[in-house]
Formats: sequence, structure tokens, C-alpha cells
Amino acid sequence: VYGPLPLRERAAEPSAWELALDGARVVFALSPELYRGFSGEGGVLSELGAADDEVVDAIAEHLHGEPAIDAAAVASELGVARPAVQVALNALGGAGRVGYDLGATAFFHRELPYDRAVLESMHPRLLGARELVEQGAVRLEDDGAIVLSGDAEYVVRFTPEGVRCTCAWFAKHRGERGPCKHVLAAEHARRRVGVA
Amino acid sequence: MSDLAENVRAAIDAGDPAAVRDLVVAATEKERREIRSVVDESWWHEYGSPKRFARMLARFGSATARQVASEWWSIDLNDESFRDLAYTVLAARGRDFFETVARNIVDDGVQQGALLVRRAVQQGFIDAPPDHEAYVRGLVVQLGDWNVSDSTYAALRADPTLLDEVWQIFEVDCSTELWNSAAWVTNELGVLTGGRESNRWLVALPRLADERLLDRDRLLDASLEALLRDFRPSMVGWYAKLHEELAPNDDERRARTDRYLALLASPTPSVVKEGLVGLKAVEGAVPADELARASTGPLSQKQKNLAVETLALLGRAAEREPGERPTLLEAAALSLGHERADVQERGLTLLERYPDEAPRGALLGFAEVVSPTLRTRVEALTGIVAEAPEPETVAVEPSPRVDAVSTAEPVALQPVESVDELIELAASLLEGQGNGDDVERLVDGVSRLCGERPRGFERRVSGLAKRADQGGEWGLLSGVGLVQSVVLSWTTGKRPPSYQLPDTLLGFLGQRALEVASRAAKRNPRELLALPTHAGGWIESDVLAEREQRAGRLRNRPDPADRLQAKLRVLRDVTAIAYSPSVVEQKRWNQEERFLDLEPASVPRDFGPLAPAVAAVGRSHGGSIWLDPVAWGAWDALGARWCLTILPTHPEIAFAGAARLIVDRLDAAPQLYPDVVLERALDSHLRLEGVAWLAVAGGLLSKSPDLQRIATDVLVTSIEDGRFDPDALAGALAWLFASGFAKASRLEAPFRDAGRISNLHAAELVRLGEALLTRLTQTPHGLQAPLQAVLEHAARTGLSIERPDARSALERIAAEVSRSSKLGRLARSLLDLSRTG
Repeated sequence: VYGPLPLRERAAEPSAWELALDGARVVFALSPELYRGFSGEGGVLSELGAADDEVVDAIAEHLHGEPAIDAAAVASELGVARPAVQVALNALGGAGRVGYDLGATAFFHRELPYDRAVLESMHPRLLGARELVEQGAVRLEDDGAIVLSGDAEYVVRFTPEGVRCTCAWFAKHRGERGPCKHVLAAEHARRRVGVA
Repeated sequence: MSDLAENVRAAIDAGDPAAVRDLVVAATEKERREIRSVVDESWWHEYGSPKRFARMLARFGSATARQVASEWWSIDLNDESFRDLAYTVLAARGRDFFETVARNIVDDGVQQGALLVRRAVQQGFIDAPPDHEAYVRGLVVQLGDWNVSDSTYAALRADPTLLDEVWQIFEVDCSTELWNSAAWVTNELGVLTGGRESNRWLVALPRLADERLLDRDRLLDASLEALLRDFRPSMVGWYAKLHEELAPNDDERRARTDRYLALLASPTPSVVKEGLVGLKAVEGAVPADELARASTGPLSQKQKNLAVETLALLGRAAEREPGERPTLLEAAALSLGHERADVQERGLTLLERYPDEAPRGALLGFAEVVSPTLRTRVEALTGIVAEAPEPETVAVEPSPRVDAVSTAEPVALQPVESVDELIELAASLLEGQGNGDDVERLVDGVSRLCGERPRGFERRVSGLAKRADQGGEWGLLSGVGLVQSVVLSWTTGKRPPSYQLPDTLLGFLGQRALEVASRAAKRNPRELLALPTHAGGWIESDVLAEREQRAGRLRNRPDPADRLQAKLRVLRDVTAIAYSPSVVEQKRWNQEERFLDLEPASVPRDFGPLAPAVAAVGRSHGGSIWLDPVAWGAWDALGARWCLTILPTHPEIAFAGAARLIVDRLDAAPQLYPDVVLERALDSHLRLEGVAWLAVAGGLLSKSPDLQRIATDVLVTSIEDGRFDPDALAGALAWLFASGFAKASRLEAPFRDAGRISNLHAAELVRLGEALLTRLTQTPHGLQAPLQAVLEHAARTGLSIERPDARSALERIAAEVSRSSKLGRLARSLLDLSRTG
């Protein structure tokens, strides 16, 4: 039910397989490498940093064990834009308050015993990005930013094909394991000045 | 020179370590630093010489802690008297100094100073080892001599306090160090003459238990508990070996039945094996229901021996305890889902012993997955004939062969357009990402754009320059190493190294890269002729003609290597080079070894000065892979991928290089990345001829699971796209068997797995098996493994072995072996299938 198309130039990536039974669905998620586990690999880091706390809290209050959350209905009910709801649901997913049903392609409500603040404070890339912004290490440019990290500068560019960075992490994983801290810092800085 | 320095030098010259110790200990830290100018290295003298010990002590007493630690390779702390001296000197430098040294020489990569650290802890000089796990592993390494079988025993016996510490080896994963603690065979002069004689820790622990210096019960328990810990699967078997070395008696085994049963649930085959060994020894005392429950573990493992052992245990228990048969037989039925047909057959034989008690419900669940050759027997037990599809003879005809395409691939390459794009490309390549075309784009981009210095250039490339300045593991023998040189010269103006590169294909690429780097350092731009226009290294001839028009005639002319490379990339309509395989036998490390030699019939003149390097690609050096020039491939995957772009019209050269690398190391991990060539063979546009099938055959027979998987993928893909040539692959396999390179048993998984993809694949595997039989002049060892798969595929597709020479081979094989042997039964089954199919 989930997985990238097998292209030769792509490295192995996670995939999920659904076994349809009478009255039940069993989902197997496969990690490409044992040591990587199923941590999410930084896939929602941008959303964790971007989510509007008020929207997140408002959605959280509306959760009542729904097996499939209708994002459009929630957006309409709360009077916020649909993308903001999507980002907030991702953030709630990271916080263990909603899960994502790959078969139904929708979030569902369930509570895991940890909170979003703990997760955010534990993630080194997110912390590193905030530190860079607070240090004033991010200089915004027309289509990206220059981020000073350590004694080197990295170029972050936002293109129609996606965001890119010249750091070693990005070069190695090419975004497949979430954004690097320079990208997160650039996104954070852009939000601060109101650039979407 | 100070008095202290002079006295230290005199003590070193006199070979008097004790005098050096006294001088250093009595000096102040400031005075000690003055000795550094006299003793700037620790390793000048030969091993064992008193002068060497004296110099090392002087170094310990004067260098910084990090310097001492970085020279760990020259330090010999196994000599007890020197260890005493070293401890005194290092301790005299202070606790912080000692801890810094200790942290570095006890870490996992070094493991030199565990006994030194132990002494410091015992004396209260430091509180605890800096890295406890590395310390325990270091103890395992350091206790004993490499050529004395009972030296570990003697070391433990000599220090009773070590007997308390010894239990840590069961809590910290030391399995690799324990396996490696061998006593090696030496002659009377102490020179290594043979292999391992014994394992020192396996000698020591049982002996100490016999002498009641170690608690035997605790050793038996600890060895089993270690097997249940999350230790390295490939090495954890040492603890099982220890358990068996202790030779537990029946009472001791019975007391541990629950732990043996627990071992069966382990994902590690060697651990499961130990569980089965323990249970077998006391099987009469094992509760049948618990055995049935635990047997799901080994029956789910892919190893045949584990499943067969478990079925044997279940079978004997069923015979012994009729009342428990339903539970035991239900567990045995799981074997029908095993990936190996011979395991399924064993399970079925057990169930057929008790037809009235066979678990029909469980059997029905396996009716569709069981091997087609066993389906009727399962149906006889269940009494229900499954609606299995009739053999599909219609859909098994292979697709028509497509003519191998040798023209340029359709994907056009775009040159790098800006410095920003170049920065991103360089960052990616420095991490080993990308392919040969990407490297070519980088080299061309740097060559053209090296004169540009947009605003903020230095800042933007500072990260790149820093990364490029971190020396690669293999320097200029790797793709990343060459990229580093180009990037460093471009970003910093630093001139590239002036090494003489070897006359190999990678050396040729390196020569081109360093020429560009050299110009980039001087910001002297030039358009390259050799930038590929299409993926795979191809250049359109009209594009090259335009580039040549633009090239300088007198000044800034194209480099000769660039010109040659461009010429090689526009070649079309060439004749593939034919290779003749032969075997080179050579003695290496006291063993007769065989190497593959591929002699090219001829090398085209177009190759010019590159011809000798091309001719050397398949030739055997018969020597060390570490010392020989890298004729094909590189020390990293990027370099190997880059080599693929040199001669796009002659893929057979890459296959020859890969075949040699694979076949020369069939039983070991591949080196120099032949897998990159097999990955290239997945491309449906690439023609697969003679030597390509030899490389694929080598991959199928390789012990490396990674290589075998890629070779199987090539088999599967080539069947789908019509490039598959069963006769060529069978010829290559038969040649490798006849030349003594490999056993046929390695073909089991590739034959089985590839044939299960579809009926077309199954049919082609039957054709491959048939073609292989026609080429076998002798019966190779392990032939039953691929024949089992062929039988399975033939039964599924309704095909039969029809070629007369293949049938003759089966008849010969059946006559060579006993009727009851597996090979004999398979040969007859294949012949019978022919008559009825």
C-alpha cells in the first residue's frame, strides 16, 4: 500500500504491505536496513517545526476516537486552511496522538503516552536548526538561504522540485531521510519573516 | 640539549629502560617536554630490542597523551616487565594524562592496554576503565600468547582476581575476540607455519572448571544465557562451543531443558542449533507439548539442517508418546511451508507414518504452497484434491529474443550550467553518491566554470572544501578520492598531488581528473571533448565534431587523454572482444589457489595507449589483491561506476573484469565492486554475451549473498526481456564446475527463487537445467540442489527434459550413484517426468 517505485538509481526505502483478510487488514512495514528501524526517519520534521500550536491544540480537542479523520471537515469546522490542518495532523502523529492508516489514507485517533514537546526536544536536527536560527546563522536569499554552521556555509535552495542543501547529510541521503538541520533552519527563518 | 635529554638519549642507546623510567619519573612535566626533541618517534628499533623499550618509555614520558595513544601500533604491552615500567611512567604524568591514553588504547579499534588499565583500577589510580565493554574485550585479547595453547589458562591461574572478572565475558559481547583467541601453529623458531591449533579460552575455561577454580554450573548457565543475549549473530556461536566443551552430563542437560527450548526461538541459526543439540541429548525428558510449541522456530529458519533435526525430534517424540501425536504432527506440518522442497518432503514422510492422525486442517493450509512434486501426497493425506491449476504449457514460451541494443541509451545528459549546480553535484559525489556520468559532469563543469568566482564563492564552497580535504580511505585509487582532488583544487586553488597514476582504466580516468584539477587550481577553464551526451558514457559524433571545432588549436588545446576518451565514446558498430578462459594455479599463503585468467583474442587499435590497460583487465595476476594494480574496478563503488563509462561500446571488458574479481573470490566477500557491473547488466539495452554470462555464473555461485542476489536479479530480468541465453549460462557454469572453482550446491537458491517468479521463469530454468546437463562431462559436487529446483519447476510447468544428451547425462548420473541417494532419485524423477510430461 505504500512504497516508492523500484528505480535503479534510488536506494532501498521503507515500504508497507497490506494483507487483506475477512474483517481485518494486517499491515507489514519493511525497513530497508535493520539499524534504521521505523523511527519515521525525519519525514515529519518540517511539520513538527511548522505546525501552528493553536491549530494543533484545537484539533486535539476535537479528537474522539475517530477511525478516519476527515481533514477537510476539520478545516471547515475550525475555520483554518486545509494545509494547516494537514501539518497539524502530522505534528499530532509525531506526538503519538493520531496514527496514519495507509490503507484508508487517513489519520485516525489514538493516544500514545508521550507528548509532542518531548519529541521535539529530543530530535537533534530540530534542536540544531533552532540553535542556528537563534544564533543568526541563517541569511535568507531570493530562492533559499545561506546557513553558517560551524566554520562552513551551506547553500539551501527551494526549487519547484523540492528543497536542496549542499551539506554532507543532504548529499548522502538526498532528502530520503528527512530534511537536514540547515533546511529546517532555513524553513524556520522563512516562517519568521512570513515567507511561506 | 638539556642534561635530562642527554641522559635519556644515553639510556636509550644503552638499551636501559629502567634508567629511562627513573629519569622521567624524577623530572618535572616541563623538563619532560624537553625530551620530545630527542625522542620524536617510538618505533625506531626492532621488536623485542631493549633499545625499543627504552625509546618507547622515553616517548611515554615526554609526548602528549594523544601522541602516545596515536602510536598504539608500535607499543608492545604484552611484555609484563615492560608493562610495569610503562605503568610507572604513564602514572607519573598524572591521572588526566593516563585516562586520555587509556581511553584511546583500550577502545574497540585498538584493545592494547586492558591490563595496564586494570592495574590502574586495582591500585585506585583511576576509578573505572574508561570504556567498560572495550576493556572486557581487551582483556580477552590480552590474556595469553598467540602461539601458546594454554597461555590464557596460565594467565587466569596466575591471578586469582581475574577469575572474578572472567564472568564479564558472558555479559559483554566478546564473541569476536573469543573466536580470534586462537593459538597458532609455529615452528621451533616461533615462526607461523600453519593455521589455528586451538582456542585459548576454550582450553582455559573448562580446565579451570575441572580444577574447581571456576563454578562449573555457573559456566554452563552463563554460556546459555549469553546465547540468549543480543550478541553479534555471526560470532555468538563461540558460547555454544564453550557449552559443549564443558561436556554437560545428562543431569546437567535435563536441568537446563527450559533454556534449550528457549534457544529454539532465537533468530540466530547457531543458537537454535545449540538448543537442538541440548534437547537431543535428553529428548526423553522433554515435554512433548513444549517441544511442539518451540519447534516453530527452527521450522521457520531457512537452514535445512535445523528443520531436519527438529523433524527428527518430533518424529521420535511421536513414536514415544502416542497420546501427544496430534500436537506433535501439527507442529511437523509447518515444515510443508518451508522454502526447501526436500524439507517439505521430510515433513511429509513423517506425517505419512501416521495417516490416520495427520492434521488435515493444518495440511489444507499448505496444499497450495507445497512443492508441485509433493502435492498428490498431501492430497492423499487430506483426502481432498485441491483445485490446483493444470500445468500451463501455453504461457511458458519465452518471448522472442530482442536484438541486443548497442547504441546510445535514450537518456540525454545535461552539462552543469552554474556554479551553484556544480556545488550541489560535488557535495553529492563527495559522499559517494551518483554514477560515472555524474562524475563526468562534475569534471566537465569544473573544467569549464573554474574561472568563475561569483559573489560569496569562498563562503559557498567552504563546506565542500572542508569535506574534500578529509583524506579518502583509498586516495586516488577511488572515485571519491579523485573527486576530492578536483574539488579541492577548484575550491581552494591547491595543486593536485603529482603521483604517477597506474596504467589502469581508473588510472586513465584519474589522469584526466588531475589534469582538470591542475587547471582549476590556476583558474584556467576549458571545454572538455569527452563529456558524455547520453547516460552510460556515450557521445553523439556530431556533438563531438562541434566541440572539436571550438577547441583551441595552439593555446589551451584539449589534453591527449581527453581526446582519446572522447574518441572511445563515439565508437559504434564494433565487434565485441572475445575472451578465452583458463585456470592459473598458484601457491599463496601455503595453499594451492586457483585464479581465473581471461585472455582477450585481440584489443582494437582504436584504444591507442589505453590498449595495454584493457588487455590486462581479465588477466590473472595470481598475487595479492592488495599489491597488484587494480586492473578493473576501484576501491569504492563510485570509481567502479565511473570505469563503466570509459568504453560504452565494449561492455564485455567490464564483464571480464567483474568475472575475474568474482571467480577469484567465490568463497569470500567480493572486492573492487564487481557488483556494480552486474547491476549494469540489469539494463535491458545491454547485450549479454560470452564473458557476461561467466560473470553472472560466478555471481550465482558466489558465497556472498549480495552478489548472488544481484546475479539472480540479472537472471530474472534477462528472462523477462529476452536476453537470457540458457546455453551460454550453462556453458559458463559447467566450465566453472569442471575447473574446480565451485560446487553446484550454491545454485540451489538462485534456481529455486528465479523459477518461482512466473511460469516463464520456471520454464527457462528447466531449459537452463537441461542445457547444464548436456555440458556436464563429470557430475559436480552438490548437483542435487539445482536439480531439485529444476524438478520442481518442471512439475509446475508440465515441461520435461527432452534433449537426448541431457537425458543421457541423467541416465549416467543415476547409474553413478546408489538408488537411494538423493541425486539418484532426482535423476530418475526427472527422467520419469519426461516420459509422463
